[in-house]
Amino acid sequence: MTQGHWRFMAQDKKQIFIGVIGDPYESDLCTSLFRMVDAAITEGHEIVVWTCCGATSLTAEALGETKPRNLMDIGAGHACPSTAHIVRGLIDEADGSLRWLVCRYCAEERGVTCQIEGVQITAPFKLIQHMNQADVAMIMGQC
Amino acid sequence: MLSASEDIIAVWCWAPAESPLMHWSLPVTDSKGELFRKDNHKEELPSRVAAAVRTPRPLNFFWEKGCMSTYLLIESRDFSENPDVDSLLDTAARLAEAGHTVDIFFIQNGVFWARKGANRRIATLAGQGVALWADDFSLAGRSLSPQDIHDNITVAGVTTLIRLLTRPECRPVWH
Repeated sequence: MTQGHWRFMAQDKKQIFIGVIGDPYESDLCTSLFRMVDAAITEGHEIVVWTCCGATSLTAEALGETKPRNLMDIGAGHACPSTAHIVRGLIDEADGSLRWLVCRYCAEERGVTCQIEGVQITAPFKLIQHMNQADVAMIMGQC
Repeated sequence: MLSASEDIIAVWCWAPAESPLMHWSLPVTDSKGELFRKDNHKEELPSRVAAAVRTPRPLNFFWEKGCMSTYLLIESRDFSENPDVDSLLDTAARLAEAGHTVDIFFIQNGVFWARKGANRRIATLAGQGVALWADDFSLAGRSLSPQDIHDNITVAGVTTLIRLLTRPECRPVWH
């Protein structure tokens, strides 16, 4: 590892804004998002996640706690958690330092207005407000 | 009114809020470095600013010389799925040339760029001072080991990504 790689300064708690704009099934975007949120919680930062477009379905109530069973491997006996279950777990683990926001227009367009408890459906014009309040903001994915 | 005989140097540039020039409207100076406001009222610039303004500079002087920023470019795609990846590497090279601190973090399919021999630009970017990282989870998911990775790239986890992201004044770009 070269000397130039270590450019970290003392880490204060920051407010991180992550906007997720993408369909969760198209790539590993969803996995990366969950990993980043988990790492940010562990590091002690505050996170605001804004989901837009297809990402609003990550926390749909209809997903339940587990993914549908794999009928090709029904004897496996284990059930993979749904994205809604994972997000609920992250919110519980964060103990107040994670806010999960869902764009209302995108949720209405996709018929996922019934969201799990703990997430907040928000008007789209609040996006800029939340971005401005954060210390660092990043948008992941594309519509 | 300004006379035709005076040597007027108009300095128009975009400068960030912390630049001293942002405190002055319509920064038009004569050859002595004295500032003329819109109402032609002469005011003397601070000597260090006057010296900088007096010396001819390209319009992006303040951007290049006085406004170093930290950029975190996160590449999640391989060239085979999106040819735009090359433009991100171009951007990183130009930012590094301009003196900014640049980190590229390869994640998801972007880790295919991290393989040895995958792209000759990796060595060039490392030579320019760009820090290169590859996500360990993404590598493992694609059956790539640290031995398969270019020598100039550091294998790191997502905690490192968060630490890079939360550096002061860091500007992240997810691609």
